[in-house]
Amino acid sequence: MKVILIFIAVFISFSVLSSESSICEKSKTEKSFVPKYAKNFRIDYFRNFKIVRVGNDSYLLSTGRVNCSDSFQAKILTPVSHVAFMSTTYLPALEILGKTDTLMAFQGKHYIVSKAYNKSKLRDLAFKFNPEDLITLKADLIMGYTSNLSDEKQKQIFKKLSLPVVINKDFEELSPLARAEWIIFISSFYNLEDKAIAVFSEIERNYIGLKIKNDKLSKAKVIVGSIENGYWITCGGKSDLAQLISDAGGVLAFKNDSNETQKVSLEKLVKNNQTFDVWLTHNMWLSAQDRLKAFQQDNRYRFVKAKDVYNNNLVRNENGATDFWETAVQRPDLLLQEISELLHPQSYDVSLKWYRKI
Amino acid sequence: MKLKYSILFVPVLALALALLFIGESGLSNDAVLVNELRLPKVMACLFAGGLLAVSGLLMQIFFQNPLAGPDILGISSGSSLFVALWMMAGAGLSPFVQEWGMNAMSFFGAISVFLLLLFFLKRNVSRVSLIIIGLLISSFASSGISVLVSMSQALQLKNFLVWSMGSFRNITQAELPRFLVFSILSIFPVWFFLKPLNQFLLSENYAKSVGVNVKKMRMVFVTIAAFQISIVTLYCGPIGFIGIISPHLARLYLRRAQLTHLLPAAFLVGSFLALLTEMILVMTPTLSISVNAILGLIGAPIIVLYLYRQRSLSL
Repeated sequence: MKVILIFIAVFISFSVLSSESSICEKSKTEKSFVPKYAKNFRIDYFRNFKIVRVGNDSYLLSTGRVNCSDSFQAKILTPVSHVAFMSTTYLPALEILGKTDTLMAFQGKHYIVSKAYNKSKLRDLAFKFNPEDLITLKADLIMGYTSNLSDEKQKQIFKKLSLPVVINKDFEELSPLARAEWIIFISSFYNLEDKAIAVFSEIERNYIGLKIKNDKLSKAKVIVGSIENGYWITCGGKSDLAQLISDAGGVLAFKNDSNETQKVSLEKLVKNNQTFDVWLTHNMWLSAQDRLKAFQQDNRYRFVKAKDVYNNNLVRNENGATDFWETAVQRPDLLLQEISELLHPQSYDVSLKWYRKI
Repeated sequence: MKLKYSILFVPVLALALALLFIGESGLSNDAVLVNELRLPKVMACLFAGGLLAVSGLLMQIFFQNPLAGPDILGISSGSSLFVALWMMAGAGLSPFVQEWGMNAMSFFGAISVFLLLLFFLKRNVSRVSLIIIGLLISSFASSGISVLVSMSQALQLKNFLVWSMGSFRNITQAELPRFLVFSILSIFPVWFFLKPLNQFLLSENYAKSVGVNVKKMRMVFVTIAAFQISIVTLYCGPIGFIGIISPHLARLYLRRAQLTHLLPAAFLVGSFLALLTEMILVMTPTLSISVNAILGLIGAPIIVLYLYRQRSLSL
């Protein structure tokens, strides 16, 4: 009889503990933020906490201690004041939100181009995560991307160690505006959602305005890529760059139904035999001289005929990292404006921020 | 024997001709397509495939080991490691220096691994141990490449990763004459030393007993094979499996081991495998698969089947 009573007591206590999460999750939602473009996150607001959901993971964000069980991947006290980031694409959000001083560690700090950060004061994180390294970091928030954080086993370790590790899936989004909308996700850790929503609304308004303007302009023929391993390597027809080109009033060559980088046979390039208005490339060429040298080394480049050639490396840091990959994602409106300038110079007068003519 | 050669020659010629007139853009004899894109690709397949097969055969004779091959013994990896070092270190140099530096580094990488293997061979390391040492060298080179990649800047890293995937389409029309000259130069000495090679094939002791200067011949073999592998690695990136399976397929087909017959047959089998891989790539233009992925799918089952049929590792 005693044993049965003990068993019942244990069972009840376990039931209570396991239902704690549902108490939190089943609390009445005061409001929710469902992104307009981004597909991979949402924020649910409750009386004294909020739950940020990214795919199957959910994170509990609160200004004070909330008594919820550990069904959340991480519990984070907000606003955060010490953060570690794994991608340069998150950095412009900090600048917009005025929180650059909160960055304490970065993975591959030599890639940072922005002058807003004092790199000598940042701790450099190894690409392969070491939980011990992250524990000693004592950060309020560690934000990374799927490929280096989403391993289930690793996630369990982070959870067990109560490490505030959060996955940002901005790069899985398929449209430029969707990627930019992740500023609201980052702002939620600073309780600055209102500011981020206002900034994003402006970005969206600008972007749509430009798109409407470009719809009325004549279409420019655009080719993207370069020769690698004997193939023409170009962006997928559903990639965010392809969408930007389309929204800028351009017709992209070799458009397919994928968002992945594609390999095109050089034979198709020869058969295509047309002169493009603009050729956008993303390589190491810094000048027309570099381009001509490359043409001498690989004479198959002469099959790419374009009136103007642009490379996206106008601003680089001392290590050769390019500002484009850091800031352009966060400002699709400015990027669309710049690509519109490249495609329709007669209709725009914008000074270039990312692309250089080569 | 002539008939057997002819039978082997026909599919090589047929595939080579087919690849000259069929491409991703369909059937065409457009001069630009044929001369500038398809001809360099076909010649790369013919000679790179052939050279890998010949170097694989030389290694199998030299190491008296049927599992010896450029990729198994770490020669390709050694060459890749040196090329990677050069790609990362020589980024700011002029294109001319970069190109010739890569030529030299590819050769030094291959010959360094050869000399290391030679060192172990001289200390009477067993055949199985030599394979294990080769695999360890390969693993060491791969680890070294990983470290270099983690230290490199994004674009250098990208360039190296693209190169390391291997491709017969890297060679341009302008580079083709130099590639052909190097290739022919590397095959020529093999014919010159055919007699001592044949004696080596029986055994090193036999070669010694008939008066072959074994020490000198070792160095000749090492230099020729390293030169051949470095040419292929340099122009096409590291290419797997052809070096190890072609000599076995040639032996299986000819059913005799005399080098006078085996060498040209292995060369043709190597060329055939390279051409077949390219034909598969042409037929599947929407799939982004690499040369090495196809060769792995073809090569691994063949070698397993061959070993199963032989039941023992013999030359």
